Amino acid sequence: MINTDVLVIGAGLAGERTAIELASQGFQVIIISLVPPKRSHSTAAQGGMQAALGNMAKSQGDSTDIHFEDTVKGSDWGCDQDVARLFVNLAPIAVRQTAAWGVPWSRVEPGPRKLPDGEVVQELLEKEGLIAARDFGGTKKWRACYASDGTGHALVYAMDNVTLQLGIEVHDRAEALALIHDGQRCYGAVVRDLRTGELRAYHARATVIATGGHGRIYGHSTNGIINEGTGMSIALDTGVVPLGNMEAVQFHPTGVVPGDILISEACRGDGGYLLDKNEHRFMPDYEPQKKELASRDVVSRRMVQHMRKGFGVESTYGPHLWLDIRHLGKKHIEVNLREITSICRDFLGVDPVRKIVPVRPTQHYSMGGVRTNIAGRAHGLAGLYAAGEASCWDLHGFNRLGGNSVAETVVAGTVVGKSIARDLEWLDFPYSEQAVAAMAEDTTQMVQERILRLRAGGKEYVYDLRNQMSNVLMEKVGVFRKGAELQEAVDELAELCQRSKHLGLRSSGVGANPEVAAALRLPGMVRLAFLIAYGALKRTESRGSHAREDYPFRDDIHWLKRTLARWAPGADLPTLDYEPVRITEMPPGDRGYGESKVLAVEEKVRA
Amino acid sequence: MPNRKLTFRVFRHNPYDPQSAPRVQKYEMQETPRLTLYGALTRIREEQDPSLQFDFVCRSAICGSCAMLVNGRPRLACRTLIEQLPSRINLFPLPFFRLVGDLSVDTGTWFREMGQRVESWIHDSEPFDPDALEERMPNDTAQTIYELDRCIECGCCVAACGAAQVNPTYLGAVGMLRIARFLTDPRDDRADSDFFEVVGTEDGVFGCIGLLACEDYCPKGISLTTQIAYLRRKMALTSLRSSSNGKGASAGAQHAEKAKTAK
Amino acid sequence: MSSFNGKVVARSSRRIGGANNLAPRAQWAALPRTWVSLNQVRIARATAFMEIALTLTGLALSLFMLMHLGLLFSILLGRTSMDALARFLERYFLLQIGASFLVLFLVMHVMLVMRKVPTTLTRQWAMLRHMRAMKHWDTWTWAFQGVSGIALLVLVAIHIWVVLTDLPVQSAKSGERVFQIYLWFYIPLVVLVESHLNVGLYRAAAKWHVLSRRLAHPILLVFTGMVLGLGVAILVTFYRVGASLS
Repeated sequence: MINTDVLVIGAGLAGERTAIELASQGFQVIIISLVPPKRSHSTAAQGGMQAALGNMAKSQGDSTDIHFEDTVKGSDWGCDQDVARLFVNLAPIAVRQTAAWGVPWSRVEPGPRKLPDGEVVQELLEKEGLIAARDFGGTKKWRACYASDGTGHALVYAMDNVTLQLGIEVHDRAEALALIHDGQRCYGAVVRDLRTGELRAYHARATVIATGGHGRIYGHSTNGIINEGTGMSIALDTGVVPLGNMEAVQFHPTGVVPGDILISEACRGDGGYLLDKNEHRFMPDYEPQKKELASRDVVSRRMVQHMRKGFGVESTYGPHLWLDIRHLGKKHIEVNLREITSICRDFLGVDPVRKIVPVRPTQHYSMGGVRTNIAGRAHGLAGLYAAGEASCWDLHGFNRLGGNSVAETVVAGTVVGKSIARDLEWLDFPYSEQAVAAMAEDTTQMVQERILRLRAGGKEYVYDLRNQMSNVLMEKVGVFRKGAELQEAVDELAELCQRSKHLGLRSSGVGANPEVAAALRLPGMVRLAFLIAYGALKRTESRGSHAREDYPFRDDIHWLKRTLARWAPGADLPTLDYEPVRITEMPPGDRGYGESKVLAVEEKVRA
Repeated sequence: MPNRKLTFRVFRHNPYDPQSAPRVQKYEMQETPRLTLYGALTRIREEQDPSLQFDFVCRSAICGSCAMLVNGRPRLACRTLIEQLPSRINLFPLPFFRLVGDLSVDTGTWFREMGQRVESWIHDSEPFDPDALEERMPNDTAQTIYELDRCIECGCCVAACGAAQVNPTYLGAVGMLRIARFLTDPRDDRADSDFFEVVGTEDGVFGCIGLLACEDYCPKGISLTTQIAYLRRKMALTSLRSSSNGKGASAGAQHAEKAKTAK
Repeated sequence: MSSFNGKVVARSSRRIGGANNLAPRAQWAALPRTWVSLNQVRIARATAFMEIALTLTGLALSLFMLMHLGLLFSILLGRTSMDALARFLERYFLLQIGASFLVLFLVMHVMLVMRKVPTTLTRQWAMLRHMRAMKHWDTWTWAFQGVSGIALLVLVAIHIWVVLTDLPVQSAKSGERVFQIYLWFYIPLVVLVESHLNVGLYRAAAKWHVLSRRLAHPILLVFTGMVLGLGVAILVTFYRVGASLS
């Protein structure tokens, strides 16, 4: 057994930031990660990191208050306002600290500047050399700090470099498969080495889950291959830790087919068309005013609606639609839409100057996760913490603002790190190390038995089940949700849950066998999928990214609350509880964008 | 419509299976449009052989996980379009690195060690002040640093390097690029002479035999030979200076110079 | 102990057996070896000097070759001009001086370059395997430098011996030499010298980044063509001189 003060599961931005905070206070930290830290999915965050620095002409007068407002509105009043307040206050410090750690943030260049829409702004001389920002959807001011076209990459590299500096041990190619706990407190995790296939136990006084999102349970996701929600599912497996708001899943309208690489909003913003299988531009039929420029979730919904009517293009990779930017001209495409052009050319072999690009809506972000309090402590289990996309700290509520996720990882990492340090110093209570060793032994045994059972051979094949699960989610719990379909999804996923108990291997399963890894993950993934469908079925309103066709209104009377899902070990079904959302500064109101109406107002009128 | 029958010849070996011996295994599949090696390998694993090991994370050339030898050339599998390859495709793991299994190699360990060797972090004695504004920096400087920071540690440069094959302790183009990155950064206090012992050796810039393969195979198109040349000139100059002034005499002057350019 | 954020922080040094993710070789390589660490700066400085000296001797040899070609250019103007030039050089022993410098630089160049050549069978094997596995043009030009260098060492030694043992230099003697026995000796010599020189210049330019590779390619290609053309022209002239005499 390996002993340490703190075990951090996941080496993305949130995990590493937490580790840095603790190591710099003198605690021993071990990070375990599926992949080397610099390969984490955090690197893919290209957009920016939101922080109210107010250095640009278009961000004059920006403040943490406005950032707070944008965040709460973005969340459709689903977020915890104490958390949002803490977050917006700390975000500027977080950005500046990463600057000191070496992130080459793009800087303000004074002088006049012409914006794409023709407006000319004057960047101030007094702001020269300070951190610049750019525009991002859903914000009043320009607030997304960026490092050229690789914000996530630059941040991850700077962060990982600091872990090197502090000599933090990183055990890469390792996957946590179960938490060691006694129902009261968490004592570490049992981990499978993905080099050798061996199991080993880590005993830690504090355990942090920072494993990122669960995007890959959907068939089509912009998330990395490794984002399979492993951290969420091991927390769920304890039976005492609830996952919050799992039904809150964000979609992006334009992922390319195949590969699901995200094409940024710019393609529609600059005047691209969406075409169906007859190369007919269908968006004006649905949204005569805004057409392709309607908001992300609306466009995604209309695309799915149109494909369901049979207008999707059939392909080996499933139905899709076309994106057409040819009419923008070669020069515009190659200069202003350079990133999109290179994605199309490099990963599809399609030249967008001459050809139409296959796209479809794809899963993008999971707002839900391990429910924690404002200090990052997981509900239900002492000594367990969570940070980043894996957690439901609840900064994002039902819809995340672009750029807030990157900022969240760094800020939450700091906050969680500090609270762990405090807890270890002041709240730690003595326990029997022998008892922990026995517990670790039991847990290891349990995981070992799971592997042996797989080797003994059940009749189900892991990739068949996974594809079925992904399809159910994609078709019935996607951007558009309807009671009857959700019920079907719940039934089908419940059946898949049962079938996932009878997985068997087709290969030998010796060593670092990838089939074993997939088969060990799958039951947890199916349970997460079930929670998403189940939570969505029960939530009879539309809020943020959760859009019910049969309940198109936001219902602040009944649903200003957060879903908490627990799954008792061995039980067939999870239990759902609800807790009120903390509203401190900003009462629910109109978002000022999007189509959803607010039920509260109408009901009041009727009453 | 591309509709060829593809033949993959893939290196197979599981070092943790006593029954496994290194061999080449053949897989066949029908080509589909817009297919990349990522799509093809995933399909082989799911439909033909679930034990096949390979690494992908971002599948969009950002994370650097999936470098392998494709028909003898190191490249990122996710950014390799099948339609640009012949129908017979040979896949081998990257040389130089330790084999995890099949097409998967242990780049993580090597790169972490490299990071420790070159002390790949900002050396700054000033504590961070959370209440202060960020230090100003010209945008050009930020862009230059970003250019040098674009490396994704995929390992293609080291795998393609002949010097690394014969000298296992060789720092590699990526290590020298990292040093160039911190030398350029005004926030880092280190001077040329501080790097001399790490990179002014045969494990460093003077171990380079100039095969130029690192640059030719860098998937991010980073001008690696230019950066190595930059370091070579700097280190040569440092050695000339330190021998005429006595060891490390120039460090102080350089610190001052760097501080001046930073302002 | 390390300094972080202005504070001195104890590094987490409790390394637990088997847990460390550094592979054994990596751990071992991170440790300094006694003698190397004691002499590290001195060795590093010597390496730097050798690196510079290699390029400089290469440059000097290239200059010598150009001068040599320039002098031989006189045969294209006619036998009398060449013989006059040769007499002038010999009066001041310039030929002997030039030859001794040539030998000196040649020996230095070879000794300095030995550092870069894999010398054990294991390493040679590794290099060969690498070159064959990797589809890469410039890796092969490096190998060409090695092979052509060894060949040149033999050819140049023979050439110097033949010329110096048969002084004074006269166009008639040279012509006869080329015509009678040495044509099949001089053709590879000329080709190898010129290509070794130009590939060397190209690699030096890339190594120190005097020229970008995109520029270096066409410039040196044209240069090679010119120098090679000149060499062949001179050889042909000698051959004709030899033929006319016999």
